[in-house]
Amino acid sequence: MKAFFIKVKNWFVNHMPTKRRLIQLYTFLLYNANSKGYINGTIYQGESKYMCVPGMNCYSCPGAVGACPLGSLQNALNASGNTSAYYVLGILGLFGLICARTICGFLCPVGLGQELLHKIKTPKLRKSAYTRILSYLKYVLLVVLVIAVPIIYGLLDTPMPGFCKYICPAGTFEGGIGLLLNPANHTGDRTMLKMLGPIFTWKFCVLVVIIVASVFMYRPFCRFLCPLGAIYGFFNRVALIGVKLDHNKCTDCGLCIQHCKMDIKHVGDHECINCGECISVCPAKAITWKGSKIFLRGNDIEQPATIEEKPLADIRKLSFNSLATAEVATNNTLTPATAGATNGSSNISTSNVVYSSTEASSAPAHTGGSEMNSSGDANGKQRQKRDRSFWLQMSAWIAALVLLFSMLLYYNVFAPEQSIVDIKIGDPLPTVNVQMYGEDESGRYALLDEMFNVSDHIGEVVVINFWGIWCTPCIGELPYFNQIAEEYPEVKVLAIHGHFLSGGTDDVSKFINRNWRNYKVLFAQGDLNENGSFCLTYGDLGGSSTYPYTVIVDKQGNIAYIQNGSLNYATLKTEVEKVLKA
Amino acid sequence: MNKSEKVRLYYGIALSVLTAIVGILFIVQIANMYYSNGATQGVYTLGNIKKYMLLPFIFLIIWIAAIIAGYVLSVVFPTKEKNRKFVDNKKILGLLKSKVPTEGKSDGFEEAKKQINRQEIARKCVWGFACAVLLAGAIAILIYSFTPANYQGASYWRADILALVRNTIFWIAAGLICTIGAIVFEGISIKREVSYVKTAIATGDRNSVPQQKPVAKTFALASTIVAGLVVLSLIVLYIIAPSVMTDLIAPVLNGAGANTARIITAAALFLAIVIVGISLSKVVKKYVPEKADNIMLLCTRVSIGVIAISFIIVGATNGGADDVLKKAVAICTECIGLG
Repeated sequence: MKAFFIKVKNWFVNHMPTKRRLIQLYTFLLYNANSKGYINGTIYQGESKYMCVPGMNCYSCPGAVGACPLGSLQNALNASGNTSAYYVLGILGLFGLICARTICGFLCPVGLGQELLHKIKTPKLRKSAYTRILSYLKYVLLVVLVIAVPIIYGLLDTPMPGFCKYICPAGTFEGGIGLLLNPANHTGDRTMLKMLGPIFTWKFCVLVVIIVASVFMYRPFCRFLCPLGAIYGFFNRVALIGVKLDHNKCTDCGLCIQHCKMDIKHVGDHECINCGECISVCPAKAITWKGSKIFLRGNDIEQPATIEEKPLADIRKLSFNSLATAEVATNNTLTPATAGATNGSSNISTSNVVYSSTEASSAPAHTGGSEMNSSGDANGKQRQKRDRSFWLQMSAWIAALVLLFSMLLYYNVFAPEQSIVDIKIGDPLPTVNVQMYGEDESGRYALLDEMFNVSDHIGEVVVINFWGIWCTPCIGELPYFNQIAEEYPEVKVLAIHGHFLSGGTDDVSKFINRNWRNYKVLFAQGDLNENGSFCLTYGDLGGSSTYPYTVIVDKQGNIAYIQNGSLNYATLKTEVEKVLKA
Repeated sequence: MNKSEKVRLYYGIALSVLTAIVGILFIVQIANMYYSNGATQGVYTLGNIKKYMLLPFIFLIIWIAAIIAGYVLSVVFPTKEKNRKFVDNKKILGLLKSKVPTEGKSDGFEEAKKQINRQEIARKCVWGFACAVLLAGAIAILIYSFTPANYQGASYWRADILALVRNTIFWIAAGLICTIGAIVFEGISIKREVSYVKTAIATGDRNSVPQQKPVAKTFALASTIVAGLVVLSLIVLYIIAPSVMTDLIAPVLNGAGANTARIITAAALFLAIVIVGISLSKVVKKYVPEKADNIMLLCTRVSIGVIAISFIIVGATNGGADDVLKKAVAICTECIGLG
């Protein structure tokens, strides 16, 4: 029995999360600090979403406090005809310059999810020349779905973020399923289930395939599909943070490439996610972190002591370069001692890279800085270095924890509450008094002073649709509303535009003028909040954050139908006829 | 194989099968739910979800329990992961080829050299063909993707995307098949060539082994710098043409009368930047060879940093930042898979 508990204790000690894992978890919590969004079933709509987070975290996730860089890039390219995508390109350039694919290794929740799934104990499909070839598929997706499709559809006045819409698992899991799981979003009259159709079916299947593949392969999404990784990969060589190879020390043994689970050809290339797992595997200590001389302790060979496994108790001995060491200890029996030398008896401890004395003496002479000096001065200097490193790391961890807790406190306690009006079928319609779009005196299509008040149309059926020029399904379904307006002249069809982008109402007028000038639909503009990011009229009718949104009002002025999401013509016609007959 | 390894092997296989079953069940049931109820919107109701998803969820719970059981097993039957030995024939060939003599000493040398050349030519031909297919595919995909006539517009985007997939998937599949074929052939050819090289070394005159020239290590950095300059010049294009899409590229794509002068200016600027970058790299290597890499790396980093920060500032003032916020706070439902 005692032996069993010792085994359990050793298992926990050997499987303690590495620093890299802790950073990944921390980042996930930081990106999704708006925990109350999961409870309310709403997304955060505050101003921190001006900023893109470095990794892939869908802005439709209820907890997300920042924007997704890939989604923002596609939306910006879509709008290239009106506004050049400087801001997003600048942000991507800055992230690339500072971190490049270190973001993939440390700061991406999608990567974290895949790595955790990969830990499930099944036989694994290892990398090969074929997976290396497959890794170029993400560049095809980048060019076609992230660049070409948004730009071309932007020229056609249709918003279309190709990758987000058809592939991205983060959007499906964090956004789609994350919102749907909340009872407020899948029950009641404003249920989001009504909007699910072929796209959800397809994306759900893609998500399941990626999840299952992650169990058998290491990071399949990152290696084969992620365009964001493809973009950051371009910056890997010039980034400030990451791993680098000292060619003078490198003996070309290839152990780093063998050990690495990504499809790299050499350390630091465009496939390298800079996780640092190769650092402790290199027998010549040729791999270091960039900037290690300035901020971080270079990975000198530790003083060889005994060949014993040291528990993770003494955190003073933790070095920055042991970021991935615990993983190496659990995943790989290959030790530096076995790499080329005949003695394979040393173990890698979970806290330190420890070599046998035989290994240290047979280590290549040009590794440098690894002398077996047992004099007091050297020991004292080492102790000073360790102390400095320890306090530096402690300060960094404390600062990080303070930041995380402050953000959690702010977003969940102090941030303004977003209240959703609970609208049900049968409720009387709140006041809807909106400004109309139309031809002004000079013949130009613009926002007019004329108002439309729904309460002036009691006795008529009114179909109210909330849309946006940045919303694909909104634009796709408006022709159906026009068809209804033509077929049923007694029905007033009012299309209220939500918040607009930087082009203002001019953009909206031009859009309507170009595409729908002769429509029977009445176009109007909803009232906006202070910073123009939310349509108040939409909120008064029970809208939270999803577009399009349709409400049908009966002749008595009560709400007869609510649709959260897009409508097809058949459903719309059926519901209008129902209300007309009632 | 000892008892512990056997238990873990059988467990691993069982869990793999269970994982595949769970995945297949989820996909099959959701497809069933969608297609059995009319393949249209509105099929997803709470009743339907409970009816079709109950079985996959039961298996999901079993799967989770099996994973937990696996971790208990790993405590009771701990094993170390074996490190697979990896024989890199390509590397071995590279190392051995540098030792091949130019003159033979005994029989078999000439035949071995002939076979070595034959294998090299065969590999070049196969890779040449694969690269040709890849290049053709890349051009075809680019042309199709960037041709506005292939997109019908807002109401037909589903048909457009399906057409895009149909037209690109052939080239992607062809490229994959050709490349995989080339890799397989390369593996076989290299293995054969290694034996011929060993024969050539054994039968050749060791005194006639040619001296190896040191390979320049700055090529990788130079190519990175050139790539960076390409990106830089594209960004500069964006700056000189404020609304590149409507003014420059759209007329070109639509054939509605290209702005020739601007195209020529942009192309000239792009070439000038590339030439300046390469020349600067050569000048630095000539006069400060020991620091050339560091200087060029610093130049690249500074230029990217300056451009990125200025873009962020410009974007914050021209409304790009507002657009990021507004798209992030109002969800287009189909864009997150709810459609």
